[in-house]
Formats: sequence, C-alpha cells, structure tokens
Amino acid sequence: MSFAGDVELGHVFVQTTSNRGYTPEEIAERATTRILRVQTEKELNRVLVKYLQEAQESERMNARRVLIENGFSDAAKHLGD
Amino acid sequence: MPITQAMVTSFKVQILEGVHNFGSGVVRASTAADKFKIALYTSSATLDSTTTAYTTSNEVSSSGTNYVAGGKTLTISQAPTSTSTTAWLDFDDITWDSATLTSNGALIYNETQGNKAVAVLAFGGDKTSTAGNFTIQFPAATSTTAILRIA
Repeated sequence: MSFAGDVELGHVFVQTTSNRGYTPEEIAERATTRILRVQTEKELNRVLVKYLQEAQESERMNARRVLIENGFSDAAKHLGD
Repeated sequence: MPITQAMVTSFKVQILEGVHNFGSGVVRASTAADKFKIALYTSSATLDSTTTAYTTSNEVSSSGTNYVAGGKTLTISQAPTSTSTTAWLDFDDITWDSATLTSNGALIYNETQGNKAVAVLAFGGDKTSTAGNFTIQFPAATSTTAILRIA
C-alpha cells in the first residue's frame, strides 16, 4: 500500500533585459499571473504595490542610463544605484 | 465510514510551518517565519540534491555586477496552505536591478537556520542581463504549480 507524500518543486522562469528596465508590457505579463490568483483585497494591494514599484525602478534605470550616456554620471547617482 | 490510509493534509502544511520535529530539531527564538534567501550561481557550480547549505563557491561575482554575495531575501507571498490534499507555498518574484551578470541556476536557502539548503533551481542554461534586470519569476501559486509543494 502506498500513499501520496511527494515533495515537488515548481519550475521558475528567468526574465532579463540588457541596457534597459522592463517595459510596462513585460511587467504586466508577470503581474497578471499573480493578480489572477489573488483572493483578498489586502493581497491585491500588496501585489499592485510590488509591481508598480518595479515599474518605477525600471523607469529610473532607463533615466540613469540616458544620463550616464550623455555624460551626466553625477546626476545619475541622484536616481539611486 | 471506511478507513483510508493517508498522510493528512494538515500535517503537510505543518511540515512547511516547522510544527513537527522527529529529529534533534532546532530551538526557535520566535514564531516568526524563517528568513529564506536566494543566491545565484554560474555554470561552474555543482548544485544538486546533495547540496546541504549555501556556498560561495561559484556564486555569481559581486564585482561590477550589482549582485551581493548571499543573494536576496525572498518574500513569502503565500504562507503554507493547502488545496485538496496538497500543501504548498509561494514566493514573490525577485529582481536584481541594474545587474550585469550571467547565471545558470540558484539556491534557495534558510538563513535563519544556518544557511541550510532548501531547493536548487536550474535555469536550463545561462541567463544574462547587461546593465539591466535579472528576474526570477516563480510559478503560478497553485497546488499543482507552486514552487514548493507536498502532494
């Protein structure tokens, strides 16, 4: 006689970019997967904040890159690491 | 009512919660969840089911990559729960910003419990970001796909 008790590991997906942050579409694709599974308002709020922060960081990254490419490295530092 | 042999579902959830101790166990300072981290590794690393703890061997370099040794702390987005007879949990996606790195896999480990290994993730090949984002997207949070499951 046997019974279930298998420990299983899901498969991750790796998303990368080069010389840019994520586009809204790229972030939305990942966020959608999460949002569709949300069951409470509190969790929906947490998920939205996380992905909106990610969008903000991507935009800052793009701005930093433009500043650095145009010789304004000091200004770029004010936008964070 | 018939008797059906089973590993009860609540026990599976409680395994993930650290409720049961069949061995020497650990002394816990609080009831808070442990701190789980994820570290990135190059293709030179040897990580598999025999890996017992976090190692710096062939971890992605901290030099000029915007990657910090030890990796990042994972956020548990779904505490241990169950659906049908499967216990599972979920982590938030994790992103390294402005990163220039190549990684072939990752190790999830428990920093609170002496960096003990939890799971090895193989990316299926080198993944590279150049002055960009490197994100590990965890699978959908369901009982059939979530990252950690006890079926």
